[in-house]
Amino acid sequence: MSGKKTFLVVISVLIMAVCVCAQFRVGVVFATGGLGDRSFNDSGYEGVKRAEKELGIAFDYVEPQAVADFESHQRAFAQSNKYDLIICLGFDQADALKKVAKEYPKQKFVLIDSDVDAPNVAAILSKDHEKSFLVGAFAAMLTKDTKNFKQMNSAGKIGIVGGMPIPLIKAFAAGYTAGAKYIDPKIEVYEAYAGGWSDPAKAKEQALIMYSRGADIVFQAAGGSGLGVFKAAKQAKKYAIGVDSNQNYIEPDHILFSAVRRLDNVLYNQIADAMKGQWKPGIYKLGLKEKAVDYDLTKSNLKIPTAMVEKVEELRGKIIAGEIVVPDKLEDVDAFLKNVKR
Amino acid sequence: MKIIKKAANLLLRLALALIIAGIILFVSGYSPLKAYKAMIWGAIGNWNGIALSLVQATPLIFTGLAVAFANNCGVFNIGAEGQLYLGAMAAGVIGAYLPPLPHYLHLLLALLGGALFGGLWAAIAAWLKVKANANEVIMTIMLNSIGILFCSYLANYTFKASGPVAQTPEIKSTAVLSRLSTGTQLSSAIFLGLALIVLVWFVLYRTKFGYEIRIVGANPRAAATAGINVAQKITAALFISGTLAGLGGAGQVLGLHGRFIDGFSPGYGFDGIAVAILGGNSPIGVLFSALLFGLMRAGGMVLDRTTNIPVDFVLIIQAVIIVMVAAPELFKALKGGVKDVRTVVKQ
Repeated sequence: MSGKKTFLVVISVLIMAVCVCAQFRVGVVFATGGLGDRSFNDSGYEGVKRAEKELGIAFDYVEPQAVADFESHQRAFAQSNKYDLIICLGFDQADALKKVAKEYPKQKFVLIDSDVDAPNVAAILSKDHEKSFLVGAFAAMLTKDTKNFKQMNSAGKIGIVGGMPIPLIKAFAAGYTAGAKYIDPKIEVYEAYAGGWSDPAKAKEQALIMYSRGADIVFQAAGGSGLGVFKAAKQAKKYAIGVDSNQNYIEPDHILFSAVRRLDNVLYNQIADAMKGQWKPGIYKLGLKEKAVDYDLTKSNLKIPTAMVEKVEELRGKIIAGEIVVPDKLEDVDAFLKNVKR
Repeated sequence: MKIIKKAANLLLRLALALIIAGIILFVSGYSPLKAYKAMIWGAIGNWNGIALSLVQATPLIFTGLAVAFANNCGVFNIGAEGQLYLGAMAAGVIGAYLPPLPHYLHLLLALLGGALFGGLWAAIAAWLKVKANANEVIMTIMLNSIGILFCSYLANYTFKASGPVAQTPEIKSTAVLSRLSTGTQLSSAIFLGLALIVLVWFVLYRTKFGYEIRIVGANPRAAATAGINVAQKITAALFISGTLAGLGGAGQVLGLHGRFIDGFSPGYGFDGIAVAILGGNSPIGVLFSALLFGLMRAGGMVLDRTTNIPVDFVLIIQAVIIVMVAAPELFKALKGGVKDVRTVVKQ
């Protein structure tokens, strides 16, 4: 009898040991664009891959073919009870996750780009206005730098072409304008919208108009339409700024740098937190401080003067320290400029 | 006897498809057996798999029927995708914006709205064909782009729900096509699809109207000589085809998504063409080929999720199987090919 008991104890200790040592498993449901988009999904994949290498996690992923498939993929991951964390990329997974998260209250979920409020979901938004602030500051300095950049005029005009005038994109414009005017209040910022995410011709027209009106640098926040801005920069022999992923390679002689998201850092940190038991549900807005957004100078043939980089890095420090609170609405920019300490 | 022969032929072709896809997988460094196990398990291994297969098949029953109905009248409706979107948008708007109504009345109105708008969208092509002698293939293709983008506009501006997603507000609970069980996406839309299969079969094969439709499809000149109003039949067939596709869109909105979402269809309308042709343009055939597509998709989803095989291979496997199933005369053609070569050599 006691022998049997000992045996049982040994077995249960062994099982527990196995459970403790068992690999941390992550399930990833990508957005419908799938891997190979050189942007959103690929950047997320990079983060999970890094977690596999550095933290020793195991992961499975799925590339849904339709919006209808999100729900069943999320549910299947949760149902299998094999995953410590399930990561869902893209705001169009929100509806499905609201249902599935309720069905599996003990399953931890991470949702990128939406604000689902549930006790087992960490919903993560990005402070795009912070990275836009930094590239706006760069643009304000560069547009006056006629010495290093032959194509710049000294009119002090820059522009931004957005996809659609929705709050998400207006935050880009607000940060960009605030950053530029923080450096030089006299800078004029043109703002226009392509009216869609896959209309490069329209975005190109908008950018060409800006260049012809004296702008030297145009920042794009227009998804697929933004490629038109790069074409316009090439045609007008002017400059552009890429967005979200490093787009500098597309026109390395005309794209100065890109204002990037670091989804890889975001996902890596979520996984690391969950492994350490520090993961918490909630709605998070992550920015420069969390390394969720940044700018990227690599892969461009244009050299940004070191002094400017130092200045922008100083601004980054101030934003992280909370000395500068970048506005995310255009109507708040004037108040920001009035009250900010320079 | 004939059926057994046909079934054996089908099984042979399926086996051939699995072998070809298996070779592709094997050469690329993946285990075909593991892949097939995941696919079959995913599609029919348990209740969840079966439900998922039916979920995937549901919209294809509608679009397959839509294309098949028009084909019976000799009209190639390549525009089911656009009609599906119009129907989905109409159902979504009626479901979300109508004042409170009794449950079934609201649902019925939303379905009727979906059918009507899908039908009217197709009727535009019919009208242009009949009045202006326009080719219906070109008309329906072009109307796809217009319809899908028009719906996209409505979802982005006019009827946009607040938030970052281009979608309409959630439909009211009185317009919901209820789900059959919690924990799956399967909704009663599939019963609507099955009912339509029976209805379309009845109309095509048991009514004078259906008979005339099929006569026009078989030989429009003979039909005209026999006193059938060909233009009218073509218009009617395209309209009905559009209502079927529109109902498919409405079913997705009312049963699955709960709202219109921009870009919700991964090409249900286009797959409907393959479903119809594979099903020999008969309603019963459409049912089986839609189920086959559903099984493939469900299996593919599980394959993608549970193995490290990239989704592109999943699509290749699906395509190879469908190509093989769609070629009933394959073995005859192969034999014939060999004979031809022999005769050439002899000469």
